[in-house]
Amino acid sequence: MISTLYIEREIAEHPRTQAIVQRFPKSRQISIDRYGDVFNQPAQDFRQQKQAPALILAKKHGRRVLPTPPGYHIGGSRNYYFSHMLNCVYDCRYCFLQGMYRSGNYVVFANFDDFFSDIRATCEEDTQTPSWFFSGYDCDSLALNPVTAFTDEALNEFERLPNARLELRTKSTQIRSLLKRSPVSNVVVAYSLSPSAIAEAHEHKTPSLEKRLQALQELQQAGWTIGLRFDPILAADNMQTLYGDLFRQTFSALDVDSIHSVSLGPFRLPKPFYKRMIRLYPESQLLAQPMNTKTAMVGYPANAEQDMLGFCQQEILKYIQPHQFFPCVSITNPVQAVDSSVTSATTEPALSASLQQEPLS
Amino acid sequence: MAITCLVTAMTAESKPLIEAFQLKPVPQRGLSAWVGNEVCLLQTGMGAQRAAARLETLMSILTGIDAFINIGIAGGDRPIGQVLLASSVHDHTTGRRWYPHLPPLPTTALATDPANPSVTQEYCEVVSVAEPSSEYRKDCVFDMEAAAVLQAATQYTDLSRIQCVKVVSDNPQHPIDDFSVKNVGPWMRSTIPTVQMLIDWLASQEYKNTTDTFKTQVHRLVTHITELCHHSATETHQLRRLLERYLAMYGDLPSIEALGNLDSSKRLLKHLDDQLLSYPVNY
Ligand code: SF4
Repeated sequence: MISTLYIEREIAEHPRTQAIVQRFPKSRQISIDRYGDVFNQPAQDFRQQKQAPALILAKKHGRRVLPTPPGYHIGGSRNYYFSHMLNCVYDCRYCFLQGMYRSGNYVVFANFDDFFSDIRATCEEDTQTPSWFFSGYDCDSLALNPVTAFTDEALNEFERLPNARLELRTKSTQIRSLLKRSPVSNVVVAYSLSPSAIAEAHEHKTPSLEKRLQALQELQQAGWTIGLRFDPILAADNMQTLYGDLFRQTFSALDVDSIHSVSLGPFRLPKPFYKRMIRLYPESQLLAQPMNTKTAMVGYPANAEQDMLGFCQQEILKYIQPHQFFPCVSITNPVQAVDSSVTSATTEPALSASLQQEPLS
Repeated sequence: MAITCLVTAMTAESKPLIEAFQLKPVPQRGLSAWVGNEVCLLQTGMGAQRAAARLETLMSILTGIDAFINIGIAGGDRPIGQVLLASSVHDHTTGRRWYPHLPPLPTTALATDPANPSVTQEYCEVVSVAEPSSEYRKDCVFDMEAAAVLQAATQYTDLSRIQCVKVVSDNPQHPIDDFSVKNVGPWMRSTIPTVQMLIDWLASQEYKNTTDTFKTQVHRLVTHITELCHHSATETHQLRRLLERYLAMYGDLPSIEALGNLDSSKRLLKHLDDQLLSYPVNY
């Protein structure tokens, strides 16, 4: 339930703004000049706002489509991301949004058409090579779709762009609008998955692992291309049991050969984000675990991280082919050798702040 | 105990609130303040500088204040006696604007007008001006203190814990020249349901109390340990974080006895670090 809507004056009359506003007839509506006046103001409490977030409807100016960091891809050579929304309806304790934004309010940029025209323009820069577009960095791609209808419009757009590829990254089971239509062949619906016990402990308000797997099955049966994102891998003394079970459960539920891509990523946060997050959640067990805080990116100690990723890689490669596998960092400790294309997908350390912790949604 | 501080400018604004919340004077020379159970009231007098200075004094003598509600009269093109919750506060002099994070919509109507108990809460911008204003607008009300209170209070807490409630005292039909202080009492009384709703909402933010208790527990032990064993500033910082992590992982802090011989800060930090490394994380 949204109690407060902040609406940029510039976008107030836009039909999409009005359609969203109509969904919250009882909400208080407050006119604003620029979303940043509310979203970026000092003296906010992300954690408190997360309990009763406001929705800010805004127009996105400036660059709407940005290149992903070098090495970030799931098989393509031209890779871009965009954020039609900032913040997420879910509340994963490891999520970097908590450290990146001052505000827990949601921002929806209502000028989808401008995003789509930028996407078209990007594709036209090179019509010979497919361009990949990643949605769901600063939000969950599907979770607020019943309100924004973004996915429906994005799918209409990508259907007309054979040279473009779209990844919808999500933990949401809001797939009704996808199942209602024919699959769009250049779209990958990618689910972030964690062991049930970890999801219950740290992925607050998200659908259970079982529900996510069920959504994946339904999508796959309906002919949609799916992807799996095991990201972030969290440390535990029983991690091998947890993740071993997760991989078994996941791959046995799906048609493995038709999975587009499987990615694997460690728990990592830029140091300033990590510091903000422990201020917000000092009592969080996850953030209290031993971390390497000496480097710009905070994560588990290198050896422990490599052991975990090595184990996961070995397990995952029991089910899928190397060409389906895209680890987000270099895994130097694999128990089993992998295809050389895997290491070329390694995320470089010098990423932009918002992309350093990759696992959104 | 978390205390919400009501902030007013004039005696006529304070009196009905002092009565309603049964507040007792704070014995401090030069400060008009009252305190009660989970609520206190600070009367700042007129003007921005006074508001900031008095707030600072109050914060130095009264512990536990973690939320502020500025309450007072304001002028606008709205019905006299209408109670407004500020959607934003604008400092006309500096151009600065604050957006308090508003509470969820009340599930029941706020009986701000006894004659019309179904009245819903109204919202608008509060513009703080340096001199009394005879301009009346529909989209905002004018006052003289809200911006100063917001400015000062943001030094101590965040914008979900700083709210502003105004009651309309003058409008184009009843301009400021007609203003009579004797009307202020009933107007201020009509703000009480809104103020009470805010106090209840602020008090219901349990996580805040939990994290405050968490931090207080750690702070006490840090103070105790550093009294017994010298720690440099960096070591004290490390100690605090280690103890926070310890409390998060083990659910309790170690006793002083369990920390062993406190003759070396380095040894103590190492001991805590080892304890954390050996904590089994299982799901
Ligand atoms: S990790 Fe993803 S699903 Fe979780 S809160 Fe962040 S954006 Fe939302």
